[in-house]
Amino acid sequence: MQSLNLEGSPVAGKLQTLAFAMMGIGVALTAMAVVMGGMQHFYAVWTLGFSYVLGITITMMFFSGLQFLVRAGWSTSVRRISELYSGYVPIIILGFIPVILGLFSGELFPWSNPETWSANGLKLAEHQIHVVHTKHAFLNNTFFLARIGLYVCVWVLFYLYIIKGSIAQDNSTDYSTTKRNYKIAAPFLIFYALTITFAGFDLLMSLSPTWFSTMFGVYYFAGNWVSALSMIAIVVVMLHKAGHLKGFVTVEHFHDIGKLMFAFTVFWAYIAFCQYMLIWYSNIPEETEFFIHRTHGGWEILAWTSLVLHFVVPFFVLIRQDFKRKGNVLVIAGIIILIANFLDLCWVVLPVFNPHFSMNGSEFGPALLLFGGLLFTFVAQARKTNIVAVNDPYLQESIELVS
Amino acid sequence: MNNQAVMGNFTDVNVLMHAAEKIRDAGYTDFDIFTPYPVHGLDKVMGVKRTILPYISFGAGATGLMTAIGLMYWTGAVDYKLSIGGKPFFSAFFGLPIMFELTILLTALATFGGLWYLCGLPRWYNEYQHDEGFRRAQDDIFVVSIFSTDKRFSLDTAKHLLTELHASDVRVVDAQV
Repeated sequence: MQSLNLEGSPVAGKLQTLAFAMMGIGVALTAMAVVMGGMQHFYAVWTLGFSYVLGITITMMFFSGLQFLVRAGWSTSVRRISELYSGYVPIIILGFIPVILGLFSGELFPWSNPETWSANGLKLAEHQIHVVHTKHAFLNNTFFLARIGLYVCVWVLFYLYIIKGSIAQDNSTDYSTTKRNYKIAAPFLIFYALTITFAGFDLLMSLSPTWFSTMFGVYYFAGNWVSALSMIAIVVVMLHKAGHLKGFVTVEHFHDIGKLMFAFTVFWAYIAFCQYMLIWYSNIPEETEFFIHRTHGGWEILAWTSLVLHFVVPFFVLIRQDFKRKGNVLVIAGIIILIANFLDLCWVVLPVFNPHFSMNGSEFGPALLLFGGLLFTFVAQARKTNIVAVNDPYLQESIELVS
Repeated sequence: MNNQAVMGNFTDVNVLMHAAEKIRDAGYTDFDIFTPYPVHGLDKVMGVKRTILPYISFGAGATGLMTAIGLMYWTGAVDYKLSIGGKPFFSAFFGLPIMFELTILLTALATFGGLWYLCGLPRWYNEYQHDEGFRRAQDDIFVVSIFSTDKRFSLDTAKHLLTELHASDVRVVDAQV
């Protein structure tokens, strides 16, 4: 079996340097968040950055599992990229620790002690406290921890079976692990859908405990999915340029990934608008509160930025066929989408803790730290694992792809 | 005089690809290849230009969007103002589903109609379908035909070219209208 890892490759070294730089800046900005904003600010920005990177990492496993579920031929030569990113799963789940510390400190989640929680002058009103009490059966510390434990179990099993199984295929003489993946992909994707939805509810939506939206889980998923596709596109283009994927990946693969990125930026906008319009139209105070808070006091800047960067710009950049076939355009679109998705999560999380727009850069700290960790893990994985699923039965079909 | 076509049969895809390239390089623009199944890359070696269909779709989509905005603005905020639950007379928020639907509707119809137009559909029959060899293009051979409507067409050179490219059964077929 030929070996196709990035050991000794200059592009791996560059990516590693980038990862270290991100982690360094991330640590500095996180320290700045603690010093300048106190522990509550730290918990807030940690939850923000953690939700961002966690969503992308878990969704990388979804990408791989989805290709197994539908027996996709086209994606076989790029599927391994998502599996190398998935190597971050056992590490990223440690990021739940600061969230749990924030929960027990009572400063992070307003529902953990509704009477005394406050942030920059924001408090829960009398009727809101009552609403939070009625949700006690779901929003209480014990059940919250149990749910997080469940998500972690599902994700680790997903990683151990689907991702490890796919990598084990490289050195296998029969197709038993691939066949097993075909069978178990469907149940795992059901659990993925449930866990990513409820992780979105728990980490992000429960920060505004009096508000609810059944669309929120899909909204969180849509942002993660398009970010994960962007990450795959960026790395595939980089490795292709450096000559590592020659003979496996062609411009046809760029085109197909570009199509998915285009489709799911539209999907994100569709979901985000659905959530907004139904609430705007019915105009019920318990639902509009979320948006009123986030479109006043300066926070509307983030709303407009994420609309433009998350939808309008990628839509017009990716709409043309010849643009989707250019690697550089995909990289630019991918970076825009990644930034936009982060700003979108900022818009969800930060207004909980401040009635007026205030960002000093420390918000980016944990996100950069964890994102650097993701890149570093990718490089570390790619140095010892093949970057193409060399023994997959569909590999030849993928190489000959004409989209 | 009726139109004519010079036809030749091929059985090997690689030979066919090479032939298509040579015919294109010889400067013919009005020639076609009939195949029993889609052959990837054949359009490229034949020098077929990229379709203008996306522009038709985009134009129709933009028209649909403008129509929806204009319709809702004129009916709601100009011609017949009705206050419903204190909502604004015109707003992009409640208007967006209609803008979206009309954009999609006109795009879909124009794409469908444009495809038919660009493909020359509906066409009930082919002028050359009486030819026995041409019918086999639906079954087991590739048929290359150079039409007399091409401005460079001359019977002898076309026949000569196809023979040179290893076509079998090179023949002249008269169009039957």
